[in-house]
Amino acid sequence: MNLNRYIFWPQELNSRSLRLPSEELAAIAIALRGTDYVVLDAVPNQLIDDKELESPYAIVGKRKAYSNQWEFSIKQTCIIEFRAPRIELLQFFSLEPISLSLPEKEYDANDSCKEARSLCQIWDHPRYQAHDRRLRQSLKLLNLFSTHLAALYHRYPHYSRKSVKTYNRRIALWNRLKPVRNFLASICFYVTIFACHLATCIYLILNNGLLPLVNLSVTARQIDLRCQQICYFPVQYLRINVNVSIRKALPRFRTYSEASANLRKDLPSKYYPDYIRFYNTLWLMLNDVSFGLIFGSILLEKCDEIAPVLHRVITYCLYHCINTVTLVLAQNPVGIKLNEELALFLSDMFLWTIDFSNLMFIKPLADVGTLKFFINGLAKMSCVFGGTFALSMILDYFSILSIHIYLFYRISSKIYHWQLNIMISLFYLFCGKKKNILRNRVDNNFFQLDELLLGTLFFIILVFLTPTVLAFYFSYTVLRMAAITIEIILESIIALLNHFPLFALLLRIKDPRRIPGGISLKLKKNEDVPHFELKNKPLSIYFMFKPFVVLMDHIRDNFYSIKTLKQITLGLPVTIKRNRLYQILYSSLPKRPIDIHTLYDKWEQFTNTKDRKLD
Amino acid sequence: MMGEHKKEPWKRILWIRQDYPDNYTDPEFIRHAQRLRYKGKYAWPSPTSATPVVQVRTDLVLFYNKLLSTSLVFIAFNFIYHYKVDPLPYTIALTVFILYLSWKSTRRWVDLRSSLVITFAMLTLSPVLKSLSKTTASNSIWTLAFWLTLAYVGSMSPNSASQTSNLSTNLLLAIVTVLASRLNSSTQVFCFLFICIQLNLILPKLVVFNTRLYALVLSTIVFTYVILALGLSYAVVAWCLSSFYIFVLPQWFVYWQTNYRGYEASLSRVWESQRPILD
Repeated sequence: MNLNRYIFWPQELNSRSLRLPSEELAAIAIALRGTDYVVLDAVPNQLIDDKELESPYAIVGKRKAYSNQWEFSIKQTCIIEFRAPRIELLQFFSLEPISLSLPEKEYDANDSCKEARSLCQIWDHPRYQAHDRRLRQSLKLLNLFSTHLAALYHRYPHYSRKSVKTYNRRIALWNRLKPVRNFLASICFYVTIFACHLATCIYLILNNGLLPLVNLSVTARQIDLRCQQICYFPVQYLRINVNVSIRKALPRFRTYSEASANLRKDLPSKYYPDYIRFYNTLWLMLNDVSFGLIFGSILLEKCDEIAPVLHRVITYCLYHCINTVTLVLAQNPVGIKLNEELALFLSDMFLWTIDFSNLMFIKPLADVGTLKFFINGLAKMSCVFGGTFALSMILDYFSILSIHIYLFYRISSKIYHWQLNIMISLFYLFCGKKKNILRNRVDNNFFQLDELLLGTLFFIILVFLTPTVLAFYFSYTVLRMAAITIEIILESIIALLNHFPLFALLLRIKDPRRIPGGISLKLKKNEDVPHFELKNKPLSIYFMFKPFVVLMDHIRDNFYSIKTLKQITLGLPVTIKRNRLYQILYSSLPKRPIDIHTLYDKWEQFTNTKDRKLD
Repeated sequence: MMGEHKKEPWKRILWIRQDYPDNYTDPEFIRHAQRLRYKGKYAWPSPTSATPVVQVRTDLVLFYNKLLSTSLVFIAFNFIYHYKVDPLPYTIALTVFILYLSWKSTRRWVDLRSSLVITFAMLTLSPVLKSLSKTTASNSIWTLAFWLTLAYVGSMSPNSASQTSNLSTNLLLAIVTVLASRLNSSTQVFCFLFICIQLNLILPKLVVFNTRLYALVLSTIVFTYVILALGLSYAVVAWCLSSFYIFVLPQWFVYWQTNYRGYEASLSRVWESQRPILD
């Protein structure tokens, strides 16, 4: 009984066997528990003593001299050719697309189909995937191909054609430099710890319980993001390097069980996303600064031209325009007869607020001199800290300038909401009904005459006042939505600059095998033994941008959907909940920055393993 | 099944499990239907099976009274709005009259607290009511009042036993409020509101009149007004209509009921669809 139906065949062997046409070759394969045969090497036949090969290794095929045909010892088999992943280049096979965000922060793009999602969860559960377990195990073995090959040579040194290199001289030199190295390392370590500590402090100040600045200001959020990234850098770095060093320091497998056990851990896919995230963040920061430099230099150059134009635009849009709208609302706009007294009162109140905000914010902040100063500061900031910083400052500036729009919107929505609520309950009274809170339904009720009369009087008054309130409410809602749209566009740009999967995209261009999103099998030739080719599918672009797709969906759901329309109709506030919105984009960062002590422990662990390796 | 076990009689209730098949038809129902079919359209008219003429007429007169009371609202409004009559002395006189009537009929004073609350609320709100729809054109107000009046007449409860429903009271107030915005001063608004509420809501509630006498008094007032305001021809037309309504219509109805109403109607009267009782 032989269940090993497939033989994985490295493509390198094809060229090598062509180079040795005159020799009889035997293919040595390894098969661990639950895996198919993976051919490790083709060795000249005379080198092999039949009794010599032990359990995990076996000869699966032979080739006559001057022939191109391999004869396999297993009947009815398929050959799956693969290119051995070069683990030092971080290439590997994976059945699932690797995740670019932290596993606990996975978000689904379509929240709508919740039942389907739970079904998918069951489907994804390993227990229900017994059919591809063998393939999974074999892929794990393939990923460690070079290690297993080295183990083979270690055990049977005479198979190897290359001499074992010695590193003695380099290690000696390395050891002589040890004090200097240690000194430099400790300096780096303390600088890092200091930076982390500082970042943690800033993070704690920004996220304090009383007044979380993060939720109020975009700039604070940007600082917070950078702090969290700085705190997370050492952890990521250690995680990548500890894994790499452990793998390099690993002793070659000597027994079957050792190798089998090793299949389970030490896979590149475990730490590899960290590697991508780490370098992605670094790249993005550099990118951001370079954008900032361009942006800042343009601003500095054109400062004198921009400031007056900006002054005119701000004064027109945020003062004159709103003033006109409010004045028109008081004077029967578009022929709609509003209640004169209420309209006059509301418009006067809003006009006072406009004047106040003009005096307090718009006039001093949108002054040409102040604008020049602000643009100058902005340009310098963006040169030092990056373009996102400048954009978030612009956004904060805009939200301060448009604070009166927000106020108008809140005031009118509150009035409208109250009025609507009162009208609904009075309408029940109008129909002789009453809401029964205990049973949550509307019951018939007999009202006394005085209750009835008063309720009706109020109801009729409110009904006649509704158009007036509605006119104010809707015009201010439109203004508010316009302001929100501007803010959202700017924030989307910031989010894109902060979380663009640049590194992953470049990796995909440079070497698609390093960013696996699954595998594909292609029929190569079908002679007596079918030959398949195992290929890596690179991660799809959609998958890389998944957090953005989710974010866009959230934004659409929150601001431009039927739900929003319903909220507006009911007079409920439409607000930007930044902390909820951007959780998705924080998906590559842990919830809280890492503790210094944990970091220290990790560092200790790291240095220990490094020392052990060198010894 | 045991023979001596006697079946429970079938009940026309869905929510208990009964020992009958789903498509069970009660023999009583079949008998009733057969009897009706046998009598049929061509059966000899029997005046005993129809409603008595007097009862129909009483019901119709009740409705007639309410209609006339509603028209009193418009008469009062016209006096204040068109003829510029100062409503204050009339309001005081009416209030005193109503107080006297209520004292005489119930031998106690009306609930003082609630009436004071209402009065002061109306006093406070009358300037607001006046300015509420000031900018709205008069034509829209008349249209609104017309539709509200139609709704009010439609919402009046048909039988005398039940109290007037909340909806009709509210609609009446809505009419009054809409009309009040056309008046000149808040005193007028207040007086108009007060008169209307007293005439239409409090008066029928406190005092139980002889319906026919009340109808006579109301018709006299309304017809006098119509003669004075619109002229004799309109009054004649209105008088013809109302006498047709009071004297001819009940007879006609009873005649129709005895001769032309099919058996389906009377069947559905006995086997009417059950109304669900929700609590």
